[in-house]
Amino acid sequence: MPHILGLANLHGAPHLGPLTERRSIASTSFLGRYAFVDFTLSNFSNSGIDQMGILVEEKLRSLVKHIGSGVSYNANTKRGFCSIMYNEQYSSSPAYNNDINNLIENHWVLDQSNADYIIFAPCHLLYRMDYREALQYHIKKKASVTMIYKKFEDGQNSFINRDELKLDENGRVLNIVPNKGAKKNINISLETYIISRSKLEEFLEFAKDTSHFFSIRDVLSYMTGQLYIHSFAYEGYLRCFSSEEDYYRFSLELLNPDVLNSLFAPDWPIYTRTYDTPPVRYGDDAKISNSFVSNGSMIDGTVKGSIIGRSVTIEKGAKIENCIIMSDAHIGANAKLKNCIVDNGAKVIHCNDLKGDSDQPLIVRERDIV
Amino acid sequence: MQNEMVAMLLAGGKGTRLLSLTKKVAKPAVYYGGKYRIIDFPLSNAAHSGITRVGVLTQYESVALNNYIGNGSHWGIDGNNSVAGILPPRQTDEGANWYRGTADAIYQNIDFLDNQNPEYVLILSGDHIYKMNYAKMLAYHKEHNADLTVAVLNVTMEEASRFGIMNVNEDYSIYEFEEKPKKPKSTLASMGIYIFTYKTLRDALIRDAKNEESEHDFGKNIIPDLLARKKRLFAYTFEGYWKDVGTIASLWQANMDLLDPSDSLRLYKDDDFRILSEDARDLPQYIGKNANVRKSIVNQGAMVFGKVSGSVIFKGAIIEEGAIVTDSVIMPGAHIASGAQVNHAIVADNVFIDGNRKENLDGQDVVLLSR
Repeated sequence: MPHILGLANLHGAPHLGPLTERRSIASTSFLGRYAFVDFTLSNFSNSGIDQMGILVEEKLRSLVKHIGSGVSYNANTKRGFCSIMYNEQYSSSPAYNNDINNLIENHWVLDQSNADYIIFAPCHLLYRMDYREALQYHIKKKASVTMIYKKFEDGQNSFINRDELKLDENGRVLNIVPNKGAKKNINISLETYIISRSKLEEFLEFAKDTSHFFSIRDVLSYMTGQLYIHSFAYEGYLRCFSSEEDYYRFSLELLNPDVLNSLFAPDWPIYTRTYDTPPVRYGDDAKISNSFVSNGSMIDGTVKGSIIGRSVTIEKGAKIENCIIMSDAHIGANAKLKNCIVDNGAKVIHCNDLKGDSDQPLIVRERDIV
Repeated sequence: MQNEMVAMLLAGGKGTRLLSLTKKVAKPAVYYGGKYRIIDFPLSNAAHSGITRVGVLTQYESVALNNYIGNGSHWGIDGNNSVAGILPPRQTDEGANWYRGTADAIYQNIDFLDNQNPEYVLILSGDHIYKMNYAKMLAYHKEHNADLTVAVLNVTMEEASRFGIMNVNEDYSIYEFEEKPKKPKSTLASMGIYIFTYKTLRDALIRDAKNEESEHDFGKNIIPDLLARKKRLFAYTFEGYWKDVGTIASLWQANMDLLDPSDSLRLYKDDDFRILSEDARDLPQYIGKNANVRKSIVNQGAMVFGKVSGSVIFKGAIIEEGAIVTDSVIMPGAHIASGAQVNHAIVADNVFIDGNRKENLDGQDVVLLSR
């Protein structure tokens, strides 16, 4: 297998309202014990990719805390690496703060890598994919770039403003356009690109000479006419997280075993940071159904259709329904919560009745006390 | 502290009374508490006590245990000054020997200790469940200018006959050791945790190795030898939960102890003294639509669709809808099918209990269900 460098690209990711006020989506908690970036990096790792970088746009702190030295994701901790790539210089000038300028600034990652190919993958699009097949296809087709996409039948209602690929009958990418919801059948871009090292270097030069505001996506869009950009069809679980409503819906949707099994597979472990918290303890009065619960939690209340993060306390008499309770949160006795997201470390101790809508959750912010 | 004290963990025992649970693994590797192996407790204690160099002496079915210990990273014993030495019996210039006793096991690794060159050596047992800060015990050892400090637990007079008992003077200096005395003079039971000043230990081990009548045991031979030589031996009283799980019944009881809200082991307290363990790659646990889970401990990676109460459920265990599990320990990967009832039992790892089985429903004694 050729050498590959996998880059988790956080530039241009959407925001999830209050949830991403102090963190990027990459380090936002998902399904109790994961962060979004775990899925991106695990896709790399499970595809045999041991060289990784994370192109960070902003809000570095929480990501650094989660990734640590990055050894959780590498098969070999000496040969492999997971470098955080951050462009301090442009952090306060949004127009310049793009993936190309980041790569130019952090070119040392490319220099230290022996990769023949670079794979860019986002964190806000969640999918499970073995890149090896796509890479073989990329090599066979002698493409300059291969873009991964999925055929989608609900283009009018989902993936609005995400990239759509216009393809010719042979799968060549003719154009990249934002999905405005005009059509049902669309080819939605996974914002995942396979590029050879030499081509990527050309792109960096091209962007320098053309526009400092260009992102990789812009270069690709600009070059569709001149370059042989191919496409590779992905089939399987794909969700785009572009708002807190998406986050709420796509999280709770995983309580359905069919959906769960399309994202997770026994031979595809998701690596994450471990906290050595003890197993969940249920009290005498616990009543729990249809829920995921993460370790370290102590539950003595009623929990239904919910996702409970690490080290959450739910006191006796509390009632939780269709909620996402993140790590270290505390739900006091007799609190009733329905359709809520309670962010890390928040305490619900004074309000006895919190209710959101089933498609628009009420959010209690990180470490707030209500 | 870092280079002052080396811990030597005795982990070679089979634990015969644990029946088939130790058929393929040594007793320290037996599962406990929903996510742990027993050896996680002394190793986590050592890590939290600031000890960075640990030798683990393995013998019975050592492969699984050696793999589990690895480079010590589960307990963070892989830092820049760390040593996690796995020490099974070996062939040497003088021939090949099994470990003939607890003292002999340490004696055969004197070269390892000499290389570490410690001031003090902490001897631990790999099969006890407790949380203890050994740094406090070392401070006590130094304060008393002791040659040997023995950690003791204050037990009841009735229990005392089952333990090795330290008879002490008013200042807690030890004047006599009695193994399982019929008429105990004291209630201070040895926990099998010793801090030796290394020089004293080294001399005693060499003497003991030359003594052909010795059983090479710390309690039976080394301690009496040091007492006879008027060395300074002190008892250090430990307060807290401590359990030696020698039998199926006591392993079951130790698991049940975790369900008591008082949490005397402090498993859910002392955040900076967490019991560290292997990293599991499983999903969070899933509790099904019609499940009923009460008064239980359930680990990550378990799936519960049936009725569970008063139980401890490990990762990868599946309790189907229509199954009833009460007052039981369900080890990793065990599967309780719909219709099955399991009461007052330990279900060994990866055991399938089919839907027709009703196990130990009126059971007084704990049963082990294994393959």
